[in-house]
Amino acid sequence: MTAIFHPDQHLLIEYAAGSLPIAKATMIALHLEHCTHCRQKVHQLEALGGQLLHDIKPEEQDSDLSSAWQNTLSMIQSTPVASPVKRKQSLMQRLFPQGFEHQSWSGVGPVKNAKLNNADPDMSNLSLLRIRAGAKIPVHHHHGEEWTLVLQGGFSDSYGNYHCGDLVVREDHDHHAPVAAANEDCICLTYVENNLKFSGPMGPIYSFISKL
Amino acid sequence: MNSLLKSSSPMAKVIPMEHKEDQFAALLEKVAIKQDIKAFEAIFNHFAPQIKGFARVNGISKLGENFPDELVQEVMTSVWRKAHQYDRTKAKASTWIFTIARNQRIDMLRRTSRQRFEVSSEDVWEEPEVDGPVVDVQRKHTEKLIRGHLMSLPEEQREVLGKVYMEEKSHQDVASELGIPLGTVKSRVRLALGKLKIMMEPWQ
Ligand SMILES: [Zn+2]
Repeated sequence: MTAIFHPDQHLLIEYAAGSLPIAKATMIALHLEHCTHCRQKVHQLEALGGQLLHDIKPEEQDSDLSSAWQNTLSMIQSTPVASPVKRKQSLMQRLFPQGFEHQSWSGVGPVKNAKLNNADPDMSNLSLLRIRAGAKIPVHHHHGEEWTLVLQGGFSDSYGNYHCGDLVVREDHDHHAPVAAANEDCICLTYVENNLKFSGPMGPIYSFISKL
Repeated sequence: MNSLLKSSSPMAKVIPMEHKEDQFAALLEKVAIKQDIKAFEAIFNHFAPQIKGFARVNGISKLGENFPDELVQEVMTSVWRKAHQYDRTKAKASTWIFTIARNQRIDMLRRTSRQRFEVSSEDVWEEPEVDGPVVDVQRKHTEKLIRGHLMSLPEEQREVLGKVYMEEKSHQDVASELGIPLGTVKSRVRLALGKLKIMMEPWQ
């Protein structure tokens, strides 16, 4: 299925240029695995990067490269060439090698959270969210950005219906109350800049969950 | 060092017309097939000063005075190691080398803050991988437009693209640095991409 909700072009540029923090870049990369449109676009944006690199006018001090050349020569002699076949594993498989069932889910009721299995501190803003089929997340508001990428199932809120591969970026102060699709549990990867504050009746519980 | 670049002979095997302009693709293939050190030196002579210039503006030079050279060495070593993964039907040589430099820079900056990390830039920023002959034709068309029109963009648009790509600044950082609103940065980027015919959102 092709994604319908895409990162805007400025995010794709920051991704292609390499200035996006790795946690956010991970969300974009996972979206790209579902989205040919954005993949093509990123490729064009990388070609622009290549042309800009090609067009740099080096200054005087950049042209002294004799020691860098000597070092490179000794480095290539001591490093084996890379394998001719690139890894066939997708980023999805690398992040969740054993599928979602083997994540350590925590939380009570219809909404569960899981940290990513790797302990990379640059990825600490990312976590998995699992909403039981048909369940509703209380109305919440957040400070800072909240990104949601659907990895399984789907959910809806007052802005639309989201399916596998869709990336939803919510800015500060948006209020929304997602409901999971009825047929299966919805699993999302989320990037949260700051802790969510839940204002629904279950608020304190979810605030607690989101801090785990 | 420059004489090598000029003396590099054209590839012997038949190359489709549209690929001929990319002399560096041919050099990368020589490195891949024959571990041709002369071809590698020609690539180095062209791209190493560019990469060093890139390192001068993108934050690498702030790590210490040896780091720009180190970025050059890391990138060029990767170029050597991965040359056989390069596929000229998927990307221009400069695009491919740019993605390697971008990824090495990211890891170099992250390495300074910790000993090791679980997820490397290569996991998240893949090398160019685009499918299908239609895409290939469209890609070449876009590359031609980019090459032809980049220099004729208004200065303010080129300045913003340069900061976004070569200095690796977020749109917000560019806005703060230039003292202009974020919306202005975004609209300059949008205008530039429009002139370079970089695909507008197809879903619009
Ligand atoms: Zn997309």
